[in-house]
Amino acid sequence: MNRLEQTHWVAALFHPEKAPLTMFATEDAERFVVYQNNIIVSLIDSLVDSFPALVQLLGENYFHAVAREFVQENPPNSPVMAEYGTQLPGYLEGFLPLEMLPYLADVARLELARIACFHAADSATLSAEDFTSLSIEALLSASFVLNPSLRLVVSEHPIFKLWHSQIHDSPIPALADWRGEEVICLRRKNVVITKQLQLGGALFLKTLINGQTLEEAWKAASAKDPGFNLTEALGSLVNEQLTVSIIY
Amino acid sequence: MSHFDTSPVNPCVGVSFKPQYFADICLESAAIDFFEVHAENYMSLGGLYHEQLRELTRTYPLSVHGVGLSIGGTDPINALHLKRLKHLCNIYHPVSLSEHLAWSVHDGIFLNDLMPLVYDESSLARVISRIDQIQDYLGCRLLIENPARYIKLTKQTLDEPYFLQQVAERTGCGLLLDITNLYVSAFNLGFDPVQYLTDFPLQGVEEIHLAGHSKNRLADGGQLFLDDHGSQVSEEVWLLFQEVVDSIGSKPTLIEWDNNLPTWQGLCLEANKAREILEKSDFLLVSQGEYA
Repeated sequence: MNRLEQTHWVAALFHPEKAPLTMFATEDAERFVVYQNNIIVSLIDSLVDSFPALVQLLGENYFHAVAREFVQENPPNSPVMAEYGTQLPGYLEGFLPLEMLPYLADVARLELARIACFHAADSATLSAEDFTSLSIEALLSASFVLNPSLRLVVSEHPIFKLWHSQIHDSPIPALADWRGEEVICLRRKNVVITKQLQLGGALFLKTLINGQTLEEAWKAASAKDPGFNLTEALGSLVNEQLTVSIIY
Repeated sequence: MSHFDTSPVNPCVGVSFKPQYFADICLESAAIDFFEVHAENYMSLGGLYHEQLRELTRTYPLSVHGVGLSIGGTDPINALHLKRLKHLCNIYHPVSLSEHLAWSVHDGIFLNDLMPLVYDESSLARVISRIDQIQDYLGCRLLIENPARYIKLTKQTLDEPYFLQQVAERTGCGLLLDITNLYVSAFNLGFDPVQYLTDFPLQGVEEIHLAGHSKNRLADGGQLFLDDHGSQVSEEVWLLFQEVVDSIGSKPTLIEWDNNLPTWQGLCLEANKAREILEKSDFLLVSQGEYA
């Protein structure tokens, strides 16, 4: 089978309406359908595994229908299936039949963050002594390498409550409580922990993730969240094992 | 790469490892000689899967089985994928590294399934050159597996046993004989599996795969077998396995079960069936007679 024949074969896999192939007898066409189904169904199944909350929110049948279109337009470009589906949030944002449900894309982003967290590199984290050995001035001007499993997802929608409602069978957020949420995913003892943060805490972490100093993170958080408490935030950095090294 | 600790008279039976079996394997020391994992499931950087595999490989030999190298493809070999595979081998030192005689990538798209090759001189030359390239890069030998086939391709000028014999001879790779794939292909394409085994370069076989398959009805009334790895090994496949073992002796044998997973105990029962056949093979009796 040369390159051109493989090109025709692949085109027919994803677009059955295209011209029939000449690489097998016409009466065997139904057997070719097995390859079409194997690919499409296995890719849809992989998305079902990766996006359990989204499957619940959309209903299994509807999710399958959306996933089928997504798979045909966005087949994987890596044999590592844990990496498949990263384009789904963007795809959902452009999917007109779902434009009235703009929170779905961010729920998908949260589910992707959980997968990335699950598979991220292992790393030893800093202890309280690593922090207390430095003066407060040195700490404030330091930046940090954060735990590689840490993921932060910020949304205009209550994505933590939405995700939690589907996975842990809790109530869906009421319309009166419909406000943006900041969520972190972090792996501890190889279990992914998903937690909601206050706005200040999220801005603090976001600034540190960007490689800025502790002082800059403190200022960014305090500017938008008067209740932000630096001592508590530092306590979280240690207790939640969020840091890997201090750069000072 | 280290090697299986085996000889034609020593049974060596493995099973596909799944994360959900880990606790059971730790609880009781399993009568399993090796575990096999899919390479692509262990290409992430860290986390639970790697922790389990590190623990497992302290006690058991590991066989790594891939679907992403696209040996029969026409895209250049994916350098990143090859690099990740080498990294995996450097960490876990598998006793065997295998891939399929098939293609799974085209125009950068991963198809998540194994596509059939037309066996002719040009695809033979391509496959040989790609295996050479892969083995050179990895610094170890591959085992190449006969695929399950569902459709008869026109323009084919070579048969599969000859193709694999040439591949093994000209690249130095070993062969992985998947007896379920053979049985499924023989039914779907209408050839005699016993004749296939007569033609097959059995001396090059270094590992055997056994798995369940399903029987599916086609709209035209015909039947199609699928190697879905989702049930027990069928009686017909056990019989073919017996023939192979009688002919070449005991080879490392894997029960491949990837879907509709049984309990750990259920999987061990299936592995024990393979072990019994290996232990009672004619080859073993004949060999013992020779040594007596």
